[in-house]
Amino acid sequence: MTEWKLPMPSELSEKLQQETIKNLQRFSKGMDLVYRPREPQLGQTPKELIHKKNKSSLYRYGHAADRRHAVPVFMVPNLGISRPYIFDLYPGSSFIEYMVQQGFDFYLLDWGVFGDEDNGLTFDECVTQILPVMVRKVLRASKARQVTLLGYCMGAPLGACYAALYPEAVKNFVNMAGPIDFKQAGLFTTWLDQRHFDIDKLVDAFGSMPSDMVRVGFKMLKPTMDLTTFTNLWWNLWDDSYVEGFLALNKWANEFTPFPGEFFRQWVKEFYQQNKLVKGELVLGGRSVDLSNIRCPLLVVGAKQDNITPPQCARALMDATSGSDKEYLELPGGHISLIAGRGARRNVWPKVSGWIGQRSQEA
Amino acid sequence: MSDGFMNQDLLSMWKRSMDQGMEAWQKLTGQQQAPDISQFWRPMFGQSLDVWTQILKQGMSSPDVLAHWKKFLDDSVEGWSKVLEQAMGTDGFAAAMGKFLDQYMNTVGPVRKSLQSSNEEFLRTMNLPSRKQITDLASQVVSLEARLEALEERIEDLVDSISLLETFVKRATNP
Repeated sequence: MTEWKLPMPSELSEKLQQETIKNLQRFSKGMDLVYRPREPQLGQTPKELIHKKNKSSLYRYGHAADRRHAVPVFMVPNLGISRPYIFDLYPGSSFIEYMVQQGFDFYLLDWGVFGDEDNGLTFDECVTQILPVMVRKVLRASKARQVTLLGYCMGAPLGACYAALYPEAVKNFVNMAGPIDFKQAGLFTTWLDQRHFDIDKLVDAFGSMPSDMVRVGFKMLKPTMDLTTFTNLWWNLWDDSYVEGFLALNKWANEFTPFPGEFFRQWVKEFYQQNKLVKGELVLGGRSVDLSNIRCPLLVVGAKQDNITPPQCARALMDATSGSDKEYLELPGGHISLIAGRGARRNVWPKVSGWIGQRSQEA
Repeated sequence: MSDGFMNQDLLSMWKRSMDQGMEAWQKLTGQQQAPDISQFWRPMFGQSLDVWTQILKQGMSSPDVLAHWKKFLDDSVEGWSKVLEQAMGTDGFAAAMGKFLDQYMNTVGPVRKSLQSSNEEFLRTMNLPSRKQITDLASQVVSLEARLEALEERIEDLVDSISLLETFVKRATNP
């Protein structure tokens, strides 16, 4: 028969004392947050504006003396949805800072926040007009002949289309959590199905995809996320470093940006509804986008719990391209865990930088 | 004994209400397969059972009740999240959402259009530029910027070609 034991009074009292102190700290720091809100210091890695085209800006990071690799890294993030300072959150928790420390000549394309005057901008123009100019500017600034193209989220299909149309400019291609096979894009595939979602009506009515609707769409993906976030905040309120990270990430996670109308129409129709990219039916700038034209070394990184780009959705690029040097990594965490947070710094960034580093010598 | 019966009754009532709720949910979403509700309650009950068994068997080596409570809360939220995800991943849910959005646009679309036209009318009367006029102007600036950029690109290419030519000429004259 099991012998039940009661806790020792001394143990219990010690634990209660610890808990009381922690709760007092939680209370005092919570009050501090409410009554003296502070703006997190974001994007502190030194950068220089290389080029600006309409709302989009191209930044170069770090100092010349720190650059050890011959091939520049050009990062293309998502257009719309959120701002790109997630990649340079704050010192010690910044993907860009990490890459600069590893000796890369790092460039980031900030698509910017588009207004009503940009509603005519299409996916097609982004790939065939904006990206080529930005790549030329990167090559000119770095005096290199090719770039390592690193696409994150929607930046990966944008980058993949570019790499398929202009393969000569791309030395390596990295897809981080970027959707390729849209039949496997989880809840968004179901919600944006053409039987239920009338994209033409939406764009015709609003002109753009407003940021509030983007917010609703993403919040619905995980309705319990805010509850978990704030429970975790309360739990860790006594820990200053956690609070610092929370403030930065929370600012980013609640700053949604709109999509230009025509871009969103093409994105939903040709990618989510018709899955043209992986079928080889996509035509941009009058040319067919054939992913098998991508013959350069390829790294695809998927996140196990990603509900925006499930791993199999990103992995599809492995089969669609025709190079011989291909690697697929599936790492723990969600969509954002690849690019921000302690897990990213420990599990993801060293692998990505190591892979690129090995392939960053100019021929 | 009577307590036992009462508990049994309550449990059956609870189970019945869960089943009825599930049926209603299935009808609403037009789903063939019911979402697995056990994904919600199993981690909750499993976790609390584990915690209390551990506490009672080993004594409170770690009498951190709040930590146990936090774990319990996380598990239940995760359970809810899975159930919601299952329900929202159905065709029925997507159809209901599409319908809602359609109705929303049917209502909001005409209101927006009439508001826009009355605003424009008002601004024209006041001899002020309308939003559309400003947007058109901004679009023109954007296209002008694009043309300038194209010119700049061509000049940069020309400069590159000239410097390449210079190097070539230098090499040719001083072999």
